[in-house]
Amino acid sequence: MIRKLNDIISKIKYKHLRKIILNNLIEFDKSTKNNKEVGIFFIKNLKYKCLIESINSGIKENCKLYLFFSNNIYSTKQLKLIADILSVFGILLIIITKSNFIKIYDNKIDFISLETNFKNKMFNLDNIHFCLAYKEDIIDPSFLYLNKIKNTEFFILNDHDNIKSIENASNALISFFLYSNKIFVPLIIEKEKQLIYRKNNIVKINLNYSNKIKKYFNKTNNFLLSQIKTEFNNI
Amino acid sequence: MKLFAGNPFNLMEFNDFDFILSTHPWSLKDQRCVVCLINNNTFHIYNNDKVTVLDENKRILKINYYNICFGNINDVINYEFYFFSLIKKTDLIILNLKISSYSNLYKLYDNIKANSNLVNIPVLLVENIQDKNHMSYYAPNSNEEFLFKSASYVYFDTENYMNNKKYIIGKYYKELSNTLKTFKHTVKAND
Repeated sequence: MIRKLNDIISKIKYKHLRKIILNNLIEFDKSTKNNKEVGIFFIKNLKYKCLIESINSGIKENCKLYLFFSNNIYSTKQLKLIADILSVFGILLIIITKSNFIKIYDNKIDFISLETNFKNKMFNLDNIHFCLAYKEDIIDPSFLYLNKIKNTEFFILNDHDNIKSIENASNALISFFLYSNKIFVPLIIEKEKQLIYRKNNIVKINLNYSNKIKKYFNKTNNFLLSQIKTEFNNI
Repeated sequence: MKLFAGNPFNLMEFNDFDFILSTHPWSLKDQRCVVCLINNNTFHIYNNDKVTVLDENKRILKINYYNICFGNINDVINYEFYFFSLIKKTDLIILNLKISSYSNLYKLYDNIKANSNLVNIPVLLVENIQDKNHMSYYAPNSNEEFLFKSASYVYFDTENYMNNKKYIIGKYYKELSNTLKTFKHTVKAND
């Protein structure tokens, strides 16, 4: 009896939420796109109402990526409902816990652990490359080189215990590393220009300058690449 | 390996060498070791009567199973160069930096330290600023500090700064190998 009542309540809630979402979709269409700027929203609470409010304010600022850092365990039912809400907007949410990353996009829920292969750790959003990284990954030379040739602009971390390793990886790849509202910026960029704009839970990063620096200093050297390829073939 | 780097005039102070890196286009000829003369972006290696020129397309020098990788200013911030050194099982990276001012050099220090720590290979810098040469040496994870910084010359035994952790490529080796097989780099006209 109680279970039936709960189901009815959740259905009413869901219908109400769907109305709000559809109203917001009209606003979403009107919003202008700016490819040079990446908008990231750091969600504070995963309760449906807070989630909708976060999406509302995020969409107004052109945020397509939503990050939530948490240590809670979420049931499949909860995650499915969140996935359903997000799919209407076409936005991506990543729930980051100490043990894994939960990627929710296009009504799909992916659990990404340390053992997950590199292809699934990487994703592309509006032609900007992101990678989910564990603390073991950012000291792995092959992982970093894979990201170098894939031209990854952002790394999302689930841990920031070893700040030195994060700074090393950020400086070497000239990429941004994110952890719970904290952004690790490569020193070569940080010293030159302030490119980060913060407003409440929103962070916007202009990639124009960092891309120019990468093109000039960190571009692929054909000779080195061919030598690395040969060496890999020989081993 | 006993290494000297700097103005060959200071060589007189020392006796025992395996490798001499001269910042000038001359060196003491009677030395029974490998001598490297830096000439702009090329490195001229003199080993007995043999002369080898290292440039952008030839970077590795082997001296008694000790591998040295040579690079220039274009390679300093490029992680690809450091990864190439790692793949080639390099024991020392030598970078020749021709820079206009000291402020530019300090900006590069953090990047050199970061890359050196990641691949676990020490780096010797030959800094040429306004026609004056200085040497700096960084060994990975040595409290994040350069062991020598902007010295007029250096003489040391590389064995003293050897690292136990060597040539670790990482667990994504197979995926990287597969990616490289299909990876084609295209140079765009506006690059």
